Amino acid sequence: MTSHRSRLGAWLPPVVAFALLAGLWQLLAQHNADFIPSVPATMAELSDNPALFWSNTLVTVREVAVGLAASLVAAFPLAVLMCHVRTIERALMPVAVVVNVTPVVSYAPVFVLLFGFGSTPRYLVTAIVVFFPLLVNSLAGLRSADPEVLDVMRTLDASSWEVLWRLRLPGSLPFLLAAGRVCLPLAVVGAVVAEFVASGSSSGLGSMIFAALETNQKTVIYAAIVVLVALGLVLTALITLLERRLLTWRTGVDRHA
Amino acid sequence: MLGTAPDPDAVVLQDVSKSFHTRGGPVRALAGVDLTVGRGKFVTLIGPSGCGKSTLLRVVAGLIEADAGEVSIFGESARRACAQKRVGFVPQTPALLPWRTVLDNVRLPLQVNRSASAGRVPSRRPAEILEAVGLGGVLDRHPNELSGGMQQRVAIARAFAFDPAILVMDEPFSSLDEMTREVLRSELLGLWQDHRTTVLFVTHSVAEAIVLSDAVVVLSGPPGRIQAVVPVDLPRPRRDLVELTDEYHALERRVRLELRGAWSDRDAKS
Repeated sequence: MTSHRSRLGAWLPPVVAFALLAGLWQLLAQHNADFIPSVPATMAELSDNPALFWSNTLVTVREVAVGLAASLVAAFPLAVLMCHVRTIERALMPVAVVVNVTPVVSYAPVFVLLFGFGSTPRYLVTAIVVFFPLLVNSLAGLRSADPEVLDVMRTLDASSWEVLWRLRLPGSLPFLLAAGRVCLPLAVVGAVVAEFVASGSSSGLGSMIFAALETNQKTVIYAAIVVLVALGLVLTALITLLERRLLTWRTGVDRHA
Repeated sequence: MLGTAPDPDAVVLQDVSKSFHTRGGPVRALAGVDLTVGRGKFVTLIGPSGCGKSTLLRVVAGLIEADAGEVSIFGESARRACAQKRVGFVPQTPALLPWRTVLDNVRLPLQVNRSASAGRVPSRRPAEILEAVGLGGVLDRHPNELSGGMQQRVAIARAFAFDPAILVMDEPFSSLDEMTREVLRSELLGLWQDHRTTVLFVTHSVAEAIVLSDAVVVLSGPPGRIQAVVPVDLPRPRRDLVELTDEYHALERRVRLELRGAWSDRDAKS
């Protein structure tokens, strides 16, 4: 009974908050009908053209997935190198910082010049946006190994490969998942920005918004934003799910629940 | 260097010195330590804080190298003894891998540096050792489901799992309450009697030192040097409440007086 009640206590406040937000939107829309579409009109847009929104969502999801995967494939091994060879960290961390502080939007058009209006510049921009948080978190995770466990490994004369495999890699998993919580929504931002810059004739939710802006299709813009919000929520839920499955050892109690 | 052949049947330190470089200049941690621990002996290091006990322990464990002097672990250098997987280290904290179960934590030493122990069969399997310290029922639990005392039992079981020739223990019970300490002491003695491992053990507790050891080494410092070696000839296996015997009290008196000497040495210098 108590669990029923506490579950309600957990769900009710956010549900009320979101209902109020939707109400506010509806209120604003009624008084600014020329600029803001109403909630029902926006939802109707979605239900009238599900295939259109679905196909554009898939494009954006692919950009997020490819960009994130490419970034991780580059950032994690680099973090491993930095963890083992201090000189590499000293040389490349400042470079990574410079890349991180350079606004990606400023040079994204260069990628379009270089690679055209295809998917490549979009993958690149998405990958670059998430690269730094992935690198820093991977490095922090690899370095989080308990010094006393490292002592135990050293007296066993474990090789650095064994230390990496048995200690540093599993130890970096919580950090990687925490990075995912930041990087998945960030990758969506990167993909949408890239679609704005390299809109051209290509598809994707960002391109859709950009095109609708030119033709003044307000409901399409708002509907695409709603889909982007839903996408971000699904990705965040995915990370939560992964944490629950992979980090059972963190809270031993959860495992039996 | 000193011309004597390394004793293959003892852990021998000869004139071992070690300094650390700090911002305020070099700090001498060990100054000419001579110590011999015979095979199968349980020897405890005790002394004032900062006297170099841990440094000495880490030199034997091959974790830091001495600046001068000789370290021989049954005839081998400390690094070589580690390479052959003959040294077990129990740090102050349990230092378990939180994502591994209790059993898998104890298996860890068997899984790394396998070539060093190829052909050697440990006298007891990990599960049997855990059984012996009363953890047979929690083999598939994770460390954070266990109490501090249970975690430290796992750490000790892990150190025995690969039958090291010498076990080096750095105040392993220091974070436990007195009752748990006493239980773990007797369990450690039980394991030690079964495995007949040589043990070098650092503690701050005089009682712990006497109850466990064949000899109590009192260090003074810094820089660490040996103040006295007090042999403990209380019969083994040590009975419960051995602390109540007259023989124990005589030993405690001696160790405490030596410790007082170590302290006053230090005060005189500072």
